[in-house]
Amino acid sequence: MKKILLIFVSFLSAISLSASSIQDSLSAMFLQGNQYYQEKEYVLAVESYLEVAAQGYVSEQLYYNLGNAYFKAGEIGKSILYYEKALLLNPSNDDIKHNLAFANQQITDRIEALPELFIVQWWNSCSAFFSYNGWAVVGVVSAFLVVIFILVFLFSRAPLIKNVTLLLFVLSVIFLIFSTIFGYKQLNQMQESTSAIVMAPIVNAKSTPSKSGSDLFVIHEGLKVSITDQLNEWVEVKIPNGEKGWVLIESIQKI
Amino acid sequence: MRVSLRLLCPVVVLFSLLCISFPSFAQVTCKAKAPQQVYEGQYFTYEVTLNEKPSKLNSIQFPNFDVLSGPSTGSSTSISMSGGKTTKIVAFTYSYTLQPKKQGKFVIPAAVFTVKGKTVKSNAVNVQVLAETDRQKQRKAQEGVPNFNKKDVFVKASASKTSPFMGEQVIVTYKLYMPSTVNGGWQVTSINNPAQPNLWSYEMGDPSEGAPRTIENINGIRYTVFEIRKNAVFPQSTGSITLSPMELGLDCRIVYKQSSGDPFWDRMFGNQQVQPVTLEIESNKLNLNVKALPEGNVPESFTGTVGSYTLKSNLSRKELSANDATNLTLTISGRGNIQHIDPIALNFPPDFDVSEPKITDNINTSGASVSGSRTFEYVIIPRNGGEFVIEPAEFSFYDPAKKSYQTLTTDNFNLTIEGSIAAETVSSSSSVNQKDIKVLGNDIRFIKTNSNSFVAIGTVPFFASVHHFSLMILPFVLLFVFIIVWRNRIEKYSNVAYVNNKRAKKTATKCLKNAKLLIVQKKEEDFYIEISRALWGYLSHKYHIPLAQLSMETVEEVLTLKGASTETIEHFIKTLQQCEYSRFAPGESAVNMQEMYDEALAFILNNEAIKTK
Repeated sequence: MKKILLIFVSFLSAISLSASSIQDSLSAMFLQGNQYYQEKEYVLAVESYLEVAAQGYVSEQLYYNLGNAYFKAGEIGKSILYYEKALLLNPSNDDIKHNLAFANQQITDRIEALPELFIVQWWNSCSAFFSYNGWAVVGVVSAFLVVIFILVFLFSRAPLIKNVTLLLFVLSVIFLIFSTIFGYKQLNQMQESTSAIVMAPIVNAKSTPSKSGSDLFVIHEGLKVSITDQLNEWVEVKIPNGEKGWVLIESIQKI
Repeated sequence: MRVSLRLLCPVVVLFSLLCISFPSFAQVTCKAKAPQQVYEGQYFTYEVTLNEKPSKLNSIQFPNFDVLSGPSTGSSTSISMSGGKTTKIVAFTYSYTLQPKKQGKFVIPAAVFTVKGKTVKSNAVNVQVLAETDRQKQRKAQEGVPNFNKKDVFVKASASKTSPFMGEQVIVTYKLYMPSTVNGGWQVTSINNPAQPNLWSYEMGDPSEGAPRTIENINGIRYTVFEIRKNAVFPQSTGSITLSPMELGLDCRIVYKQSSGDPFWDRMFGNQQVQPVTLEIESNKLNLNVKALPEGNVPESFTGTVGSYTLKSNLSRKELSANDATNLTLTISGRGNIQHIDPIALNFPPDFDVSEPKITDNINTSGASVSGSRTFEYVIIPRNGGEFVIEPAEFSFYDPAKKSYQTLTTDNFNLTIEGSIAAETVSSSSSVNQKDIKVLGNDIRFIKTNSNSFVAIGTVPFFASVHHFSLMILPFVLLFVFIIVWRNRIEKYSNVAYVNNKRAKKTATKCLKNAKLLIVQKKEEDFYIEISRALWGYLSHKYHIPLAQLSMETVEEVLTLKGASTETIEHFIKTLQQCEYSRFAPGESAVNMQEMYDEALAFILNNEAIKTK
């Protein structure tokens, strides 16, 4: 019994050790990128950051820095793409939101977004408060809180404590429900992302998925579109004002 | 008397009415005057005189006469005084110079005028035209009156081609034939060449140049021929087109000799008379039979242009930065309807700001046909960087000489545009959307200096993972288990007998522990009290019998009632009796006490063992 435990522990530590060494090397690349960025070598900074991603590891900060480096290198489309990716990992980060908004100021298209109902806006901004993992933690914590408040309610005799715990119990149940809903929303957004960023400088949206289709509208690098359909190398995209058209898949990139 | 008054009344009324309706203004007179007899070919004057100024000449007709000149108007006023009365006579005269067309008796119908809103008619005039006698002819020849006939002046239109293709250039020439009888000079006063809906027509030639002249003999009459107008005509519909005739107004002067009767006067000042003649002549009608263009192999870019052309193109700058301008010039030159060539359709890449083409024409109409060039100039402003290709311009036309469609194309226009979107919009948006920029600051925020631990791409998210779910469910499972256990406990503790039963051994062993201490202390009295208390207490707790009910006499009965086995009862009574005995008959106390202790312990242990079985 003791032997098995020993093996298990050593195995675990080996994993964590190798994991930490990987983390260290990734961190070094990341810091190298930061160094380049500070020296205003933005193209080199982009390369360093991409090297981290090439290892198969990402983080919210990596995406954010990539967005910054691309922005400084003048590639507005990629910059917006990576800001959006960072925002998926951490939807509430103020810096990401600021830089994304700033980058969006620089793109050519200024399409009036269709107005959303205030409840929908409110709902979306609430769900963006945490990432899906953040909501998972909130959910677990509120589950524990629910149980604790149930116990306190059952065992306390003072009416004041009973009332307060009842209120807290209701609140934590609400938290539990909403954290689950919001978490699912966030997860869905990432896994079934239909949003994409236009990468080509100028894209002609066609009425049909072929080169001979008539031109419907012209969009430019950096515009966020949502993909509604796909046929071979053509995708149908919807631009913020609600118009739809077919573009080549290589001219856009999914978030 | 009364009766005669009655009869008089209507007579008075009638008379007064007559007085009122009597005209109160002077009568307008209008008199026409012409000689009663004229000879054929002789000019004469026709005059209409009115005594009020007419506001309008409504109609005047000379069906059998040619109008050589007129109307000329004149007015005269004469004032006469007789017997202190002043009379003012005003005369307005309209006069025409006429020439009879043929001999016979003719009536010049009344001329109609409007005077002060009223219609006034002149009298009709009879004119007898007599045949020219030989004597007269002779006299005319002597006097040198030219034998001028109005019909001798005419305009002839001719076309370079009578069956052209639609859109093909046709040169229409108008020639004025002037006979030698017009010897006092002539002047064109008006040319009216009516526009036609299915023709494009251009006047050719330099108007400052004098009309070229040639001499022609037709039917023995010598004509000087002037080319007064040359038009380039482009038919716009197929089928038969009749060109509407050109209308020409001419002023001619015919000079002839007329003796004044005084040879000396004639010799000094000449005996020449000048007769002005005004002519309104029309050209002949020309008919064009326009053919449709052949239908086979019509190029896509053909828009109906016919002729022969060349196409040249020029792009002023091929490399430029975004928002700079470059000029694309397309020049079509050749012969044909250059002024109606439509701008060539060009496919510019999206996002190019292209102005409407500026069109410059350079048309040469002085030659035999219309030629020249038309230039389309496009100003192109690319808005974004990149490599762009403007597809070649294509221009097609039908060449009637080669009898085929021709297509001209330019090369591709390649453009290299430098400049990025960001650089462009920063400068332009600062003014457009200053408010937003202000709020956002002037730059992006700095990078993150440190990163969280990196997560492998494709890592199963914690949310909705097994761990997540188990962690969510865990507190509820714990709560469930806890509640079950707790409820069990409550149930058990709510049962006093059960609790006592459970406590029986506990209290008994507690007493026995005390007893063991007493052995060591050798307190015999207390030891036996403790042992019996332990035994009685055990029994009381175990079987839930109040201590008051327990005595040596009742114990067997009560225990049997509670369902204790006879074995237990016997064992208990035996142990208890032994205890009582030892208590009141002290002997070797230390040995007895130990034995007693063991006995009591053995009973309790045995009983518990039985119970648990």
